[in-house]
Amino acid sequence: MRGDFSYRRTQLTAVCTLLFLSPALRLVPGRSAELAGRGAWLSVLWALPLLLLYALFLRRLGEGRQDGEGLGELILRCLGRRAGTFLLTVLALWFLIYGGFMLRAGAERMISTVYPDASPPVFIVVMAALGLIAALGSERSILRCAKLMAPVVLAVVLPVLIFSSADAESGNLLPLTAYEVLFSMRAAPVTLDVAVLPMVLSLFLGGGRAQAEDSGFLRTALWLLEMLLLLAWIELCILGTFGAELTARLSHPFFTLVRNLVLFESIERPEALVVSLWVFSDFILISVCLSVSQRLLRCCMGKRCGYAGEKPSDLNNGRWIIYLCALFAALVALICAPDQLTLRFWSEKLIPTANLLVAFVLLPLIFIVGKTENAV
Amino acid sequence: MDLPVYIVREGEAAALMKESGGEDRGISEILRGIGDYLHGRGDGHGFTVREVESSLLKRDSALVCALKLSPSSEEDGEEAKTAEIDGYAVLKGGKLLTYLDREQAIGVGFLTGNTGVCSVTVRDPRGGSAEVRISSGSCQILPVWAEDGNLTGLQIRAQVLADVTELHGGGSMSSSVYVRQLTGLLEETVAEKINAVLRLSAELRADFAGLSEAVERATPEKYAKLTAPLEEILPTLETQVSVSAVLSHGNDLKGGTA
Repeated sequence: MRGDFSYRRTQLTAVCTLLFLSPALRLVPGRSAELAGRGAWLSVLWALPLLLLYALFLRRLGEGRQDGEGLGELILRCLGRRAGTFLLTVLALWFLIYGGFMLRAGAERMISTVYPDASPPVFIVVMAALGLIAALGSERSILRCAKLMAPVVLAVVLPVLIFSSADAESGNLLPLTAYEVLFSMRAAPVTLDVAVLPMVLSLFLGGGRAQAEDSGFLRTALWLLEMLLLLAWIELCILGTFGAELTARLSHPFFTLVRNLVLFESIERPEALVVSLWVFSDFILISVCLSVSQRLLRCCMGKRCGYAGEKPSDLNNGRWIIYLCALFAALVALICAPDQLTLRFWSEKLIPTANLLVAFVLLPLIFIVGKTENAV
Repeated sequence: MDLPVYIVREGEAAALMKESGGEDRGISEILRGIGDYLHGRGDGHGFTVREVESSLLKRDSALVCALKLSPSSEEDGEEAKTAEIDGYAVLKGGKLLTYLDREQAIGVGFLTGNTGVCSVTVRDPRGGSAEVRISSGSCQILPVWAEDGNLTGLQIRAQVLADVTELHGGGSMSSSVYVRQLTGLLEETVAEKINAVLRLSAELRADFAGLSEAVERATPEKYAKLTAPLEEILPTLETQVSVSAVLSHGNDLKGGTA
């Protein structure tokens, strides 16, 4: 029988899909075009082998968890109380900063596409409050929500891509010289960043060994392949419509693409609907970030990490930290990027670099230490 | 981004918007009408914001459809005015360089692949003339490379399908000699229009017609090795324009014998 801590594979896939889509549409089309020109869509080919290897590594790392454990508990066992607590605190803070940044980026998207006269705090506070409500409950509720929301978001993305494909001009995508194909490698880290994060975050949820066994490598590989194909399609549509130079200059190329869409020569400007749907993706991302962070911090405090049916107002067992986490994320969102230039720096430099460091340096180091301690 | 962008020639946009149209037909309807009219035309194209912005980013120059205020031919009253298409404005580095008139715009149509319906007047050496309607066309831009990898020239091969709508001065479409002569003159006329655009492009050092993309599409590997942007070497390029026309006559032929 399935325990309260274990998740269904489809739920995990759905949550990973939504965690993938939000940063993918924020970062990939513009940044990839800036780095690799019209061959940017080929970057997924360069990223794929590395991502598959990384998925294999994460599976191996995740196998060290006990039933119901997240990666936090494993790290504590591998590194010991002192170093483990320090590292988990750093990771929790990082996930909160990341969540805060995503709150700010989500607010910016709403402002620049639908509500030009609004100010970010309104969106930040509302989304942080929603994330807090989700984090106060069970992780499984977040995953169930994701399972409901992912098909809705995909059901909107796919028609957008189908209709936009007709507007894409081959002159914006071709010809590609051998050098340009090689040059597209420059955008691979961007793809790596957006694809690695969902896999890492999902490992910190309390799925434990059951999760690792249920979401076998082949299933992860299939999910990766689907997401990268989707990403390549998105990039092909955007680059084909705007060209690499213009794509690199646009703040939200995907939503500009949606704004230009005319369906059946009668329906125009559907961007408000599409942008609003992205709230689902942001909601799942902030909820997962808060949930994972509070879990890590409660691990550090030696409290029970999982949810045991507590009421939202119950502050026992270190649950007060959940409120603090939401407050911290909201504060980060409010102060992190006072202007567009800073937001761009966070979006294109700081966040991807830190994500890649966590994924490709920190976690492998933990694995190595765990191996030497025979904990993994 | 997909809205057409216009520039007002010899005047201000505010004046054009205020003065054109009448009680039944405002500037919005006129602009919509212009947009519909330009669809499939060879002597004008309503470049969109996206196309203009993209062109400026790619090659630092772009074309924008130009409009002017002119007396309305409709029965809106003697003082009624309307917006009329008046060639293109050439932009470079975000600045307006010059204008191309509607006759030159036909050459732009061939070079940019926007060949469509347009009319040209062909004058024969005997003093007569013929109104020819170009119904379709195509253009191939082929780069000529030296052995050392330098671009030395451009070969432009255009094809035109046209029909005669009016004849003045005694020519007859039943005479095969006259038809051959008129076809040759049409080829010369179109070649001259293309050459005029190429000359202006070289003179302004502005690749507003997208020649660089055509060269890149034809020979991507060699283009990638070019040391200078195409607009910089345009004045040094030898251009050779050849036009092949097929002429027929329309059923609504006026002023001559069919």
